[in-house]
Amino acid sequence: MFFLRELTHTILLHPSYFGAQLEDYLRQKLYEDVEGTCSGKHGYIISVIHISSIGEGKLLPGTGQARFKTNYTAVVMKPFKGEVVDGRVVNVNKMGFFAMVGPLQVFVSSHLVHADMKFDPNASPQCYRSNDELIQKDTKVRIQIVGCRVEANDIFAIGTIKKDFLGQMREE
Amino acid sequence: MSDDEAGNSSPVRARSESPAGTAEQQREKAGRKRPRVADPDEDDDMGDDTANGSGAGNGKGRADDEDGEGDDDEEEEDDEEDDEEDDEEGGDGGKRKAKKRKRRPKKFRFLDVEAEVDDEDDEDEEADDFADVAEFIEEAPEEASGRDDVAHRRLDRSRGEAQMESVEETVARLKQRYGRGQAAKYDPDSDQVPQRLLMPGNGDPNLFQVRVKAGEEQNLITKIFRKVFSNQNSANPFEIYSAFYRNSLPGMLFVEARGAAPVLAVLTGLVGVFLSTPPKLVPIEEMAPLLKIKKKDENIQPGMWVRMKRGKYAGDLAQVIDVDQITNGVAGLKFIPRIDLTPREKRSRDKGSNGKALGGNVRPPSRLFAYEDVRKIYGRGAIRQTATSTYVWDGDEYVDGFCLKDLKLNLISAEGVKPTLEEVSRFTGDEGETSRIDLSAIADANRDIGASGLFPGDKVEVYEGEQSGLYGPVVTVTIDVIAIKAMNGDVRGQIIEVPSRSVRKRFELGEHVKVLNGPNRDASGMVVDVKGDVVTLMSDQGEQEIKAFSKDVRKAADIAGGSQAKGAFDLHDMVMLDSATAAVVIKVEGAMLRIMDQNGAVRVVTPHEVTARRDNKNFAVAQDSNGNDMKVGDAMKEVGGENRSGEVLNIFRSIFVFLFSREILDNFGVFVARAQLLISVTPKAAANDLSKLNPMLQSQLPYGGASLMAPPTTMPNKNRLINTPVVIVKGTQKGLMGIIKDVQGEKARVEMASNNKVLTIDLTSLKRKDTRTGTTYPLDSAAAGSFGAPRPGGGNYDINPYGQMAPPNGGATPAPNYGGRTPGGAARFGQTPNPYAAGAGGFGGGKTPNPYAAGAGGRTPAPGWGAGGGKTPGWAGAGGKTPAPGAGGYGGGGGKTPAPNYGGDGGRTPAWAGAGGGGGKTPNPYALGSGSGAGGRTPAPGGSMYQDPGTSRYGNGGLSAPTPYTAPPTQAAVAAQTPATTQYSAPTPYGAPTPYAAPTPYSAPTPGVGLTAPTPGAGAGPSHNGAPTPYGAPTPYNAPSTSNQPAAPQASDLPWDWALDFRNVRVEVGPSTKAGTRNPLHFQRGALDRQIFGYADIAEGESPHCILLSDPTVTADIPAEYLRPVQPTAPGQAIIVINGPDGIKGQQRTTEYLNEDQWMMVPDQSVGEVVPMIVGGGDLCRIWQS
Repeated sequence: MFFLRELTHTILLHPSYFGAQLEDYLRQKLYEDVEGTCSGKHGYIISVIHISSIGEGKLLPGTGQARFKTNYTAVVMKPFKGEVVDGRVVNVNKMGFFAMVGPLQVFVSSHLVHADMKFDPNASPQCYRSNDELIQKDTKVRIQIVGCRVEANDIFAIGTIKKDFLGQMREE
Repeated sequence: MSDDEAGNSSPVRARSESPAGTAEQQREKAGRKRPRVADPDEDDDMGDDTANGSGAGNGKGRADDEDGEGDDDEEEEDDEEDDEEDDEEGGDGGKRKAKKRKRRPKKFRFLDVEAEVDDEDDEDEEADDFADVAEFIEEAPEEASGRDDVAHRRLDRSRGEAQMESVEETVARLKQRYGRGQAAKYDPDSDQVPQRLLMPGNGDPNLFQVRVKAGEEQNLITKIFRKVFSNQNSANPFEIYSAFYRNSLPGMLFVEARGAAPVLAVLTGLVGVFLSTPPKLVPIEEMAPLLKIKKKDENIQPGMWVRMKRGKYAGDLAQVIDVDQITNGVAGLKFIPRIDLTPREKRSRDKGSNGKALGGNVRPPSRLFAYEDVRKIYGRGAIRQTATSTYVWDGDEYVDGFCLKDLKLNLISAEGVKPTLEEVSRFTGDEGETSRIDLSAIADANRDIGASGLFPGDKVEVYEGEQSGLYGPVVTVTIDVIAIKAMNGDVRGQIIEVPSRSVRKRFELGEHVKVLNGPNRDASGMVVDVKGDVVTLMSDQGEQEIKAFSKDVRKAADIAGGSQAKGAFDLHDMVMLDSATAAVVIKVEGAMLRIMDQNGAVRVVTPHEVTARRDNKNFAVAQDSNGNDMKVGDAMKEVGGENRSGEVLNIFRSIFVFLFSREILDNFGVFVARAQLLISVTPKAAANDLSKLNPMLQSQLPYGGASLMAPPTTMPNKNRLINTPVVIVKGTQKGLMGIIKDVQGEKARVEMASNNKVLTIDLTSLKRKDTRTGTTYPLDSAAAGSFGAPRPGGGNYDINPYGQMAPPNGGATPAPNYGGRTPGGAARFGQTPNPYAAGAGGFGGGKTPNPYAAGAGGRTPAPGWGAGGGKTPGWAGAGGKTPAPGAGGYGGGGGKTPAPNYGGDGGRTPAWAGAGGGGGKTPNPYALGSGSGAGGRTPAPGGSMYQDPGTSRYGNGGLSAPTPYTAPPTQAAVAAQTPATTQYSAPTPYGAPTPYAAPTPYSAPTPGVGLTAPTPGAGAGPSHNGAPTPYGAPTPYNAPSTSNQPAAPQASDLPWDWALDFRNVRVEVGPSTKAGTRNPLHFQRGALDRQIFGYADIAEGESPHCILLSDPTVTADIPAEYLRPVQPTAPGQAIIVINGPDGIKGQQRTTEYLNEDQWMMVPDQSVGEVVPMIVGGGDLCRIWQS
């Protein structure tokens, strides 16, 4: 699920950046530092949409670097149990398949695939196949997340397609 | 209670009338009277017990058999006990009684009971009670003559018989008086009553617990018995009543006595008794439990799992299929047979040879019965088929491959059977085919979740019984019953008690769990499937599924550390297999580690086979194929091969990169790649690259991008000692030679030359060994390689922080020498505290103004400049990457010299040095307004520039960029104006192949220019500045260094047999230069030493045929090892280069100019040489007859 969140980030800036364009540097650095990262607490930080305050720089004794505490608003994505998401299959093996939901990797175990879908190891690429469905690499799938493992800077989810309206999404 | 009872209840009766040797014996004799005796071993040794049962008769059996005689028994007992009682009271009754019994005639046996009692009583205080009887008894045997007597006797007897009643009454009274009545009422059929009635009380002897050596209990008990029995008739017998031990309580004996003293007395002198801890009194309430026999409740039911205890199948799992004969102590079992498929003939042959089957101890593997296999080995006749897939072989029945057999209960154990998933799966399906696991079977086997596996808060569900289907969290746990808070059903919200047997843990899909037990212990993962009792989880560690019983699984924190510290090594940790081989843990398998080493080989090791590597994740860097740095955690991709991509787990030696990708199934996603074959997937370096964001630096790009140079990485040459030939000077290995293979702290691993072993030896015990000369040097860097002994000097440059990088050579060059000639140069630089000013300025000064230098630089291969650059602080590295800084800084130089060329030099040339120093020295009016001054002024601007402490090194670039050095004032002419500077500080490398490619360098107006080039001062230049000297650089530049050290290094560089390669040269005779020669040190004892010879041909062996120059009549065949080249002494001499790189060696020239032992030759016009050759004097030899 996507959220808008107020977050803070501390930037250390080398003295060589001190100058008229200091703010530009800070912005640039903020974007580079936080966008695309993941924290277990907040989820994936997709994009910074607003920098509310860049903060006052404070020189650190010793290094001469300046520390800025920046407040910003960002779009974050955090998966939840029970959430239904759309993703794209990136890897298929006999244990199940992996799908990417944006930055989030979701694993769908073969146990959580409809019983009539069978793993076909001989197909190229390997796939899960039933009479009317085919899941292989790059297939778009709709998944329900059944559990998340949250680490300090990574989130990993397990999903199921063993329910109604889940599974392969056909492009109309 | 009376004393007697206690004595009676004890297995050993020290003072009883039956002096048995052991408990068994004793029991046999006295046992029939003592139904209450508790056999201490009874519960542990059933077989023993049954043996006793027949011999001694336990109370129960006997009571059953002789129920009708119950009363008699009682009486007998009572009488006996009365005897004992009397014994006690009489003090020596025991002895007396024994005698009497022996006396007792057999024919009166029938009357014995009464008679005895009477007898005893008669002699005791209560004799009056039995007076009549006693009289009768005493009279009976003695008076046997006369009919009257007989009649009297008959009468008396009938009276006596009539009085039986009263005797019994007496007995009853006694019983009442002494409280023995209860014992008489003992009902062997009842468990409860006698237990209670027999409880010891305050008046009973105490039980003492004694610590003994474990395992010695039985021996000690036997010894105690012997001791007691042997002493029981002595003056002071041991006053103990019993002694016993329990198998269940190892290391303990129990002795029954009235006090600790008798216990100590009997134990004294026994080996194995720990009398250091005094005997401990057992509380009365604990005495009975000590003797209690735990009844084994072997509740064998069909379907349950048992293990076999003995024989071929010991430890094997079996399933109970038949309990029809359970009362006979037999249960029908089903198990996987172990059929010996070794050919019978072979076995019999083995048997024939040594009388015993060779493979007797090897038990055949457990496998299902296969008709075909067995038939092949044992023949068709041995097997009988009774029904489909039912065979009888060797007396056993095999159904579906399993063996069905009735086994005695004592051969199987039903306790603590914990069948593993694998074992059970073998029973239920083909091996490895887990899909066919009969879940209910496993569930049965593992159903007993027990209270131990449950904790409040665990979610459980009830799967059998009335409440089946109910689930909820556990509230309380007792042994057999747990209370759960129901989450569904009618009783929702209530707390329900259910038997713990009928619940199992409940897990939700997606739950993050951890395995607590079993083969996959400590694995964690997310639940992907729950079927009955089996939970399937997707491991966090690797891409694999794990099946586990739900009772072995616990919910784990949602936020897993990802890397719980499990022992010493964690997943993806880097470990060292040996000092040169790194590996990464790709899976932690219980106590084993599966690792992949740097070559991609996977193996399984135990943790102690590897050593942990210092965590260098924060520091390890490597360069990818684009030259960009990669760090741990970066996403990289292979540029070739399989194009795998992954995240960098670790980097080893900047070469081997371990990566991890979830997409790769092999090796749990870990693979190894060479750093050079990787490329970054997401170029993100820019974010933190100061140089890219800094406008000042960027503005510099046009000048060549020097500023983009990463700050030089300091390369502490930790491994500089590696591959150094050394000799061991201390310890047991003293004198042995070897080669250092690795340095670990203060120790080095030395590969011995003698035996090809690698030993670890203290660095202090090693000395560097010159393999050619055999001379040894200290191991430290000052004496590195061919530089010979450390040189003095450098003191005044010590303030230069980069001075440390400067090998001593820097200091070695006598600074004053050059400083004196260079106005303001050396001295000042030497003094300046600014590292940049010192190193860079000095350098630059030398180089910049000199067009020749510049020109030379343009072509000079890196090594040449490397000398300077190599040492130039920091910028050396920087320059290495970017040529241009020099250009920018040098200005003129840059202008003239194509940047790329310069770049080559720049490789080592201190870019900033060039900028600053060059500017400073160049008598360039543009130079920061410093004006015309010669080198003397140089440092000023440079210094100011660099001395600014606030400016980062990068910043300098910015500063220097604007300086108008771009003007091309540096020309030959200009340089000529500062002859001194150029002359001596030009760093033109001597070893450079084409240092003279610069246009007419030699024709520079000032001799200085000319000199500059050839001057080894190149080397000297840097050194006299105190800047890092060239010698440390791994360049051919080493050569010039020798010029400062004429003799020794020369000799060491020159092979001892050089003379054999040449003809017609002049040689000097001296001591042998051949290392380890067997010849004397001096040829002909030095008779010809220092004489100059020439030779034109070489005689036999290695001896040139030498002719003395001063007296051609003198000739001698002098072995080459005694010959040293005669070096040129003056310009104009014809020489040949005898040492040096190919292309130079063997060249013949004429000397022209000598500078610091470096000779500049007259260019050989015939080959179009324009740049004179410069060679160290040591590498030259005069030609004999030109």
